[in-house]
Amino acid sequence: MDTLVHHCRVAVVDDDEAILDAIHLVLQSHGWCVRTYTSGQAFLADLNRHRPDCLLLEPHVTGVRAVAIARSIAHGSGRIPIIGLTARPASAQTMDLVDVGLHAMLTKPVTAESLFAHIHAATGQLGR
Amino acid sequence: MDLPIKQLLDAAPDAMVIVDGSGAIVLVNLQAESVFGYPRDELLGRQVEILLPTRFRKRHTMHRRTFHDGPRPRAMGERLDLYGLHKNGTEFPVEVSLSPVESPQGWFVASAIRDVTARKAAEQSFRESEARFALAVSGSHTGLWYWPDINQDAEWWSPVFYELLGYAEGEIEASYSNFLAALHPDDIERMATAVGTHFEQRAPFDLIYRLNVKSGDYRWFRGRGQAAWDVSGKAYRMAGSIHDISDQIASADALKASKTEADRANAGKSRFLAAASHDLRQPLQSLGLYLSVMKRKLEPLQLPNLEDIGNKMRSSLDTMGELLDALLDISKLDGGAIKPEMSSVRAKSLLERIVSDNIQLAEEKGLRLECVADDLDVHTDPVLLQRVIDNFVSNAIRYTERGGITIACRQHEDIAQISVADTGVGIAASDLENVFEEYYQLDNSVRDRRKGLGLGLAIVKYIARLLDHPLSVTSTPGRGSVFTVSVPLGCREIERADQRATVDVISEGNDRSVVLFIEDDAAIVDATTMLLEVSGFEVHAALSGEDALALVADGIRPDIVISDYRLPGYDGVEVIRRVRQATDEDLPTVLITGDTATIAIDKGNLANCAILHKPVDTDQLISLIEQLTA
Repeated sequence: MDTLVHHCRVAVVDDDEAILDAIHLVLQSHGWCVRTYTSGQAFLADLNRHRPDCLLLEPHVTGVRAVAIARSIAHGSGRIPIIGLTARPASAQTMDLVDVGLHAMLTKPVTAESLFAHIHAATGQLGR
Repeated sequence: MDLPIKQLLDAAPDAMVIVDGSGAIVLVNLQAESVFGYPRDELLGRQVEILLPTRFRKRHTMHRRTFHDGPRPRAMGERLDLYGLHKNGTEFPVEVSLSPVESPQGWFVASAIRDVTARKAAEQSFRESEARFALAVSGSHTGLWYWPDINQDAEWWSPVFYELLGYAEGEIEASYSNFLAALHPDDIERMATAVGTHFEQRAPFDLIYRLNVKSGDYRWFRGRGQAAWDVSGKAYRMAGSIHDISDQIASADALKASKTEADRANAGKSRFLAAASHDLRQPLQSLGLYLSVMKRKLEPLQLPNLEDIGNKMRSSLDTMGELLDALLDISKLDGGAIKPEMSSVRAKSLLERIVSDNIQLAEEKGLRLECVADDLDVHTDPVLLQRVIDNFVSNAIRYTERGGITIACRQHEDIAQISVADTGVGIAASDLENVFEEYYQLDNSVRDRRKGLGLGLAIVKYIARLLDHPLSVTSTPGRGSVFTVSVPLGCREIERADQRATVDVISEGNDRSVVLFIEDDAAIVDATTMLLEVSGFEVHAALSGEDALALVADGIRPDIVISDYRLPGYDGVEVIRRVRQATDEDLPTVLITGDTATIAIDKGNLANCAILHKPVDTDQLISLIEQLTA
């Protein structure tokens, strides 16, 4: 079924492991390929081998600042759409990230359905 | 001569009941049948107490016996409110007069009974309007002063003014120099500047200063005043009021210290709340997603019980999310993270937007939702004000099952009162003061999510505090509630008011119009006289029509007569007619009436007479006098 239709790859960067695990499970159960990273460094280090179609990024992730991650993706070859997913929508880090240019900035908690919809929209895929 | 006693009684205007020495009814007239609702034969032979509410019967029996022991004609219960009982069980206020009648068969008592329901109601509304009027003109703590010529020293001080300064009336001379002598040395310069700019630039005169009272202490006063300017633009007289605000200032000082400390603790608490609610979003997020994965995995197994549990977990999680949002809002509002952006906005468009946002919700419950708003500009942060009213409206919808919700906006002096009235369950008096507290919820001891989260009105409270818009609530259990927020008027309204004030002042001439004021309540006479004098009129007051005519006979020539309608002796219409006869048939007059129904005034007999209804708006009265005497 729809599990076979999607070959979309999603990367998730957040330092809360439960969130990474939950997003992984929920996206995977809908047929996405998911890689999760607990830090910006880990994500950037893996970028050449596993380039995602979409990045879910918590602006407050530890280590390399989220803004720097976003900029480095923007400068590399081919744009990767970024969806911000944060518990602190009004913070300075969040605002900085918004300024870099995002597909969307979502505030936790979001429902699985809303997550799907935004990833679909960001990657240009239709339907659910 | 044998009089047809029964026919005579039936012709009497009052209900008549005649009882014998044992209290048994022996005769009633037609009026008694209709007032009490019994046919005659159901009353004859019964104890007269059948016509009284049960709680009065025992006492009445006792009084009746006493009366029989020493009967004399009198009005019954001179100082008591008496009540009759209709056959259908309703009570009504009555007036009763008793006359003993001696006959060969012994003593009888004839009582004349009058249903005074209408009069009592009229008296009640009359008393209320009087009280409001007196209050509006002179609060019991407001001292009034009048400085008829600013080039002279002499002033007039009201009794309360003297009292505020610790003196008996007239104990020191009312004069500008005595006022300056009492003024604290450090306040003299501010006073001079304020008076100067008021005279020259017509800036509002409103100043806080200290006065040396008789005991030697300095007390704090708030003084306000208004000059009048002649055609050349020169101020020539001034009047105003003072208020003792020492207690407010003292408690404000004491509060300041403890408030700083509390603010610090509070800011810490707000930061903690904000941080906590952010951090709580993380587990909430993972829980939600785990749940949807679980739900998806359970689907093919078709286990309805587990599915149901999943739905309940989802709903609990949603509640938690909403709670976090509310907590975060409160911590932002309380912690100063939200700065209101004030501007002038049209209240009506804001309210209409709220109606259209909520109309669907209301209609789903079968409720009416409407907006009756004066077209006013208000000075506020529109986004925050909208949240306040929106909250009132959603609460009203939540707690109302039948009827509807009305959003109103009315001007009240220099503020707009925006209120949301519902026909819902209402709030018990004991709960009223708590409704704005966090986690207070009505009729909801088991926290029922459908009835809201208990934080909505707390958020409203914080917003109102931030905007400095006072809140109030009134309610009648079972009838409904009214939540009100008071918002200052915007620039447009203030400009209008200023223009009005300027026009008023300029239109006053140097010649003082003579007002003849007739009113039988001494308190109203005092208050109104003071008001009119402060506004520049020469006032002659009379407590009755006869007094008024005596003043005219003494040579008083009024430019206008203002009379209450209800007076002892001649009523207001008659007084006006007679004063006109004695002076000028075209004399302008104002008749003030407290009757809710318009009194029948024969326009043919009383031309050129303005009618005002109580409570009288003082501004309206003054501008009417100015118009009529212009």
